[in-house]
Amino acid sequence: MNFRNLLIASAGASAALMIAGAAEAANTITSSAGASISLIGAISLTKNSDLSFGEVVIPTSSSAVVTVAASNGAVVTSSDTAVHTAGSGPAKFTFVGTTAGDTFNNVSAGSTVTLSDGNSHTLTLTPAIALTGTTGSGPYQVAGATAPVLYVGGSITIPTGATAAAYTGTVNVSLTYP
Amino acid sequence: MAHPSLTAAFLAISLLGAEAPVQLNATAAASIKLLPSGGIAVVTPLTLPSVQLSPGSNNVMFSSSTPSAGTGGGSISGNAKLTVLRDSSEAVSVDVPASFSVVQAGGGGSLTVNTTNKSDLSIAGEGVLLGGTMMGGSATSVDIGGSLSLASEDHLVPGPYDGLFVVVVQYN
Repeated sequence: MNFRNLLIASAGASAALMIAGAAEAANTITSSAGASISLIGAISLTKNSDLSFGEVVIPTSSSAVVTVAASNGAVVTSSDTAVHTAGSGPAKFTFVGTTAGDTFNNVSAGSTVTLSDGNSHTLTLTPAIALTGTTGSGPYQVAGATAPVLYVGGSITIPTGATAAAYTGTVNVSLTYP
Repeated sequence: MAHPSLTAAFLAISLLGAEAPVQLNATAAASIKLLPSGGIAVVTPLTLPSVQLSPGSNNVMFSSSTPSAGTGGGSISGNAKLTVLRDSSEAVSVDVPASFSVVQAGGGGSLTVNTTNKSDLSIAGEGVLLGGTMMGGSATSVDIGGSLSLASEDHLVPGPYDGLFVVVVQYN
């Protein structure tokens, strides 16, 4: 931005107002200009549940991939020896403040998330996302009055030599709007 | 014609009024619990003693848990001994078949072996172990014996008989 030009413009505008003021006594000139503002409703996400892979038996023959589907929470393991037990589910976020036709974009849960047992043992989670209540594939548009829901699942590769423990981490989701 | 400086001012105002995307962030925890792989290790197989039937004798009963005197030598008779590995915090059940078949090596016939278990294991129907000393331990030894009834020696074909029985451990 050129501040010198701005200052000149400001002076020019003041001069024009003074001239108009001087002429007002003799004649009245009325004009109008439109004014508009676009108010964007605040959108927020409420976390309803965390992402859990439940309990998985360490595979014995070769590494195994455990997947929690973002769309429906189904759990699949790539090895019969990596037995999964109950207690899994995708992370769930509900949109707050949306109305039909609102748009948002760049929905992401990151490329990888490190899960740790707090004792130098780690696993790598590759997140996957799913949306309900929207149309399009980016930008997304809110389909109706029902608030959209964002689900985060993902997959974890478990090596045969993994250490038995509870591993935790944090999934960061982000999006932009409008 | 618009003054150049006014044009610049309007352009600046226009740029300031452009909508900038708002970024929204949220977090959730992710977790997984890895359990040690359980397993069944066969320490010793179930070996039934060799017996010799005398002509005209009646049924001969023997059990590997208290083997009768064998005459054939070879393998030492004894129970099958299995080691079950499991996280001590988890309950397990062991399913042992009530019986299984052993087949004469030359195809001469088969015999049915009825399994027996240690008395300190609670046993439900069909040989399902529901509790006992193995519960709560990270590794537990399970002994499985067997007995068979030689009901009619007329149909017996001399020779070694072999068979397999499947033990299923379920993690609850």
